Amino acid sequence: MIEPILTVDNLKTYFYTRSGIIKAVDGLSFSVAKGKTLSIVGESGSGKSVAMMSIMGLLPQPPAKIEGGSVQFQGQDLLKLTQTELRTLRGRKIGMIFQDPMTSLNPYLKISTQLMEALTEHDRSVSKQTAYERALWTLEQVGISDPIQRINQYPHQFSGGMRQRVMIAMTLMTDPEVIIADEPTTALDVTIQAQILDILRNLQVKRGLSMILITHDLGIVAGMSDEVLVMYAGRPVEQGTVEELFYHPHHPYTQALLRSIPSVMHENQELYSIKGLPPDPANLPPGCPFAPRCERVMPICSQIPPVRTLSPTHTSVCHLETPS
Amino acid sequence: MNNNEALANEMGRSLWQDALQRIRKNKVAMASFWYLLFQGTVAILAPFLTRFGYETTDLLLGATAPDWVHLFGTDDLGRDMFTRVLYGARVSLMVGILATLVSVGIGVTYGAVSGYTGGRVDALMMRGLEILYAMPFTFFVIILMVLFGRNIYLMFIALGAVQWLTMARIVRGQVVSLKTMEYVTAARAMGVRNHAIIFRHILPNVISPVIIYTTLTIPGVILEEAFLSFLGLGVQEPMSSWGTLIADGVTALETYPWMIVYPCITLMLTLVALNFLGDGLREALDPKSNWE
Repeated sequence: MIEPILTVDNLKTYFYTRSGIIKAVDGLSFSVAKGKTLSIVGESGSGKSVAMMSIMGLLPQPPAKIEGGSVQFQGQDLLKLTQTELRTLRGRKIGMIFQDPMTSLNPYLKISTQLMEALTEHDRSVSKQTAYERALWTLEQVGISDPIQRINQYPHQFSGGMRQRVMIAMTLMTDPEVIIADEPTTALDVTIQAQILDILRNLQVKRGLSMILITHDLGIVAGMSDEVLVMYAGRPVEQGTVEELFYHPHHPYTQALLRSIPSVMHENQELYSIKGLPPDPANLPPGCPFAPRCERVMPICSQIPPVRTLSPTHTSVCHLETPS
Repeated sequence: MNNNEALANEMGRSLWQDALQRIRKNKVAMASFWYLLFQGTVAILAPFLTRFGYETTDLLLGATAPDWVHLFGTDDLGRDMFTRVLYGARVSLMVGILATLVSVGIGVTYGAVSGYTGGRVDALMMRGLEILYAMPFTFFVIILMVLFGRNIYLMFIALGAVQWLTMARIVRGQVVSLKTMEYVTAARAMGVRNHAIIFRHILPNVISPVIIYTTLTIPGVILEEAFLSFLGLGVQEPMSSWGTLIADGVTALETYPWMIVYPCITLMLTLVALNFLGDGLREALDPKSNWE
């Protein structure tokens, strides 16, 4: 395996609320290899975004608290850095793209201001002229035509897809090594989705970027990623390469997810869906959190499931092979 | 083509420069601006624009109706009303502008810091503000006057010190809701410094309520000053402000109506101009407003 650039080990992020402790992320471990893409898949509320925000140090504390674990990046543990140290790293080394391009650009600032700021906030010695030229160049990189005119416009003069391109350009201003894309195409329509994904893929190849892609669209996972991590109720469920997960899914949750994809082959067939609702995060069942919805549930599932190693790259957290 | 020049020109244009360009196209706002500028200049140049002193009485003349010598007439002590309105503008405008600047300066900073920091700091800052709110305003001014002696500058401070409370609350409320916006998170993820987030990303979004409230504050402060002067805590005879002139005029309303008409017209024109200018500014500062 290629050396990892970002390694998360046993990350635990809890929220302390009046209605109890919410274990939003509970024992998450993964690593991203240099130049590769890791996809994190899971339902809404499974802790994907919270995990990313924990890594970036963007969660409001309190109510959030990182209870344990480590995030290794370039020989540093990100969780041990002060806010000031983290700030110099954010954006410069690790960029983040958000879900809704309509709200992630400041309506009162021109595109140029927001792009240039990404650079000048980290390096005061960069001249306005240099930052401006760099901004023009990155806009061109993400496929915005006529950047000289577009750069002086405000976000409301851009369409959704164009705004997402601007967001990507913003993260690229500083030449980061890792990009975290939090559902980058969820708010866009399908044709634009394909364009944005294309841009991301090209940039990745050209610049050797590592990427963490958060999504719940398995189609995107198949097309974009090298490795996949499936999360459920704040915990990792199964992890492996794309081939392993799509062709040999082990965990019943992964299998159920794959069966939920509508297929063109079998028309008039009722769409499969996982029964029940995700568990209340403040009140998780003991043992495996998926047990109440699992089709292959066993008595032993009320105990904490072990991690099964199925191949050097493939792990699954399930009781299925536990001898009873 | 001199592309480079155009480039440098475009690049340097901030939100404010854009706003300036936009407000120049707004005729009503510009007329208001010129009127206020005229009013201010006239107030500053008051001693050179009139042959009379604001305190010079002419008891033999008494109250006379406007004529070519006394443009606005004279009051019952024979003082030239035109002169007194000019001098009154000095006090009223100064109070209006200074006290409002104090209130905007303190209020916006206090509110933004409180709202953005949140948590305990926010709670503490807001409780402090409530304690100040609870202080009776007149009582507060009287204490200041007793402690430091009567002084017109003290009045500015006293008025400003009371006005900023509401401004801080308005700004704080806005900032609390704005700081959870995704673009603020995005800016943080980009590694933007906290003060840059407050001043560059959040405050421009607060500008329209601030401007609206400011245009409401200036007339409020001018009237407040009139009230204080009426109580004998503000400007004293023979010095005049629009507030005191109107108060004097009310008593002579039936006999010498010109004593109230001219100060009222000037005050009204100023307030109307302030409102139009405020409206124009708000529109010009909103990049989404239709201007191209």
